[in-house]
Amino acid sequence: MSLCMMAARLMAVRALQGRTLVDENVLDSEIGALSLDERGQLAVSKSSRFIAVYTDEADASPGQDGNRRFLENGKVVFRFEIGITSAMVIEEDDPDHPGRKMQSAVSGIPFTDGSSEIYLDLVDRQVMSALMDPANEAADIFRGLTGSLLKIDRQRAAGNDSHQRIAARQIALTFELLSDPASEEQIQPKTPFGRFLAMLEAGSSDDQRLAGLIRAEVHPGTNDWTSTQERLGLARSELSALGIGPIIEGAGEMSADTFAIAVEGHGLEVVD
Amino acid sequence: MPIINTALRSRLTSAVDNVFSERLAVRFWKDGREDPDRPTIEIHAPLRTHDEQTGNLSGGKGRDWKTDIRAGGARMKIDRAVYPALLLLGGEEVVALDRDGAPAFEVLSVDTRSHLRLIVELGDK
Repeated sequence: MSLCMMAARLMAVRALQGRTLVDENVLDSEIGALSLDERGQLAVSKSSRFIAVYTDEADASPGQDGNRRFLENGKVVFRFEIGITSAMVIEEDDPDHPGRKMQSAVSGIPFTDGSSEIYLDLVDRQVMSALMDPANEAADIFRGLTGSLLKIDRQRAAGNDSHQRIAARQIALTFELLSDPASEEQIQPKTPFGRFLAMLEAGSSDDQRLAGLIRAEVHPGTNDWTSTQERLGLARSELSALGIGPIIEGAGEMSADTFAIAVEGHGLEVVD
Repeated sequence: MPIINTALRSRLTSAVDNVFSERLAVRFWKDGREDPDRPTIEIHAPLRTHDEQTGNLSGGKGRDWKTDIRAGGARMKIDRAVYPALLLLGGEEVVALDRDGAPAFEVLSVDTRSHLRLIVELGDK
């Protein structure tokens, strides 16, 4: 697993919850097909509107500098999918014609093909507003975990040939994502990842167990050279060649206070 | 030109409907609003739901789409001799009154070429 990808996805989901027309129904990496019951409600959630959030393909190029930065995340695509079908409209009183009913995707706007698109545009903007929100801690952690927003891709799909009238929008945001922390020393409380863990640890017991799993994965480095070796993904021989690794295989005590340098014909020099 | 025995044809259609039809409410919407010129009517017609199928939100056209959604839809066949004035344009709502939960459908398309029946393709609503 990529810890940063998980953290950013969870924070994106939380940043959107309760902030858009879909209310709390933000789905994290939904796999099964959404199924609407005979009353037009999503069978799983008792609400019919949704935003589904996915982290999709990721592409990292750690470079050819001889290091192996296994924890680089590179460019990651976050997908936000929104859809509206005829089954998701609400029926309400027509404000302009008392006694008559009206159907709407956005309350107060009568439901037509055009207003399906208005719904998608509105929720699209609400997603962006929620991710931009300066006051939302989850959104701010999300922004901290990501670097540049490299690309925004929007796709539209609509039709009525799949046994329902449906209009949908997908927003694909390609972000630079920070590298995963290699060890616990890198997770300072004020870093985005530290704040992410703090949020989990202050949350539900599920959240707390997840924080425990993450902390177990980023164990503290045992000493300087192993931490460096881990972070750069170096082979032991490469580490030794750089002069950082242990000189004698298997010997932890590699330090020395004095060195004796013997130069042939010139005697012995002791260096302190 | 062969002479069609319309009386026999009507008897056949109504005999089929006697067995297979069910009670349906048709609600008329116009641009998202209740159509004041066409009040809700109740009809009897055979309604057959299709097997539900899973497709992604884009209708299966986009490989990058991740969310799947299920829908079945249905087909309704209305005896034109019984409801000669019924005009369906698409967008109307059909409610199966006798079924549990009274599931609703939406008229997606209407085939008016048969002289016996209006063949109405319905989507889930």
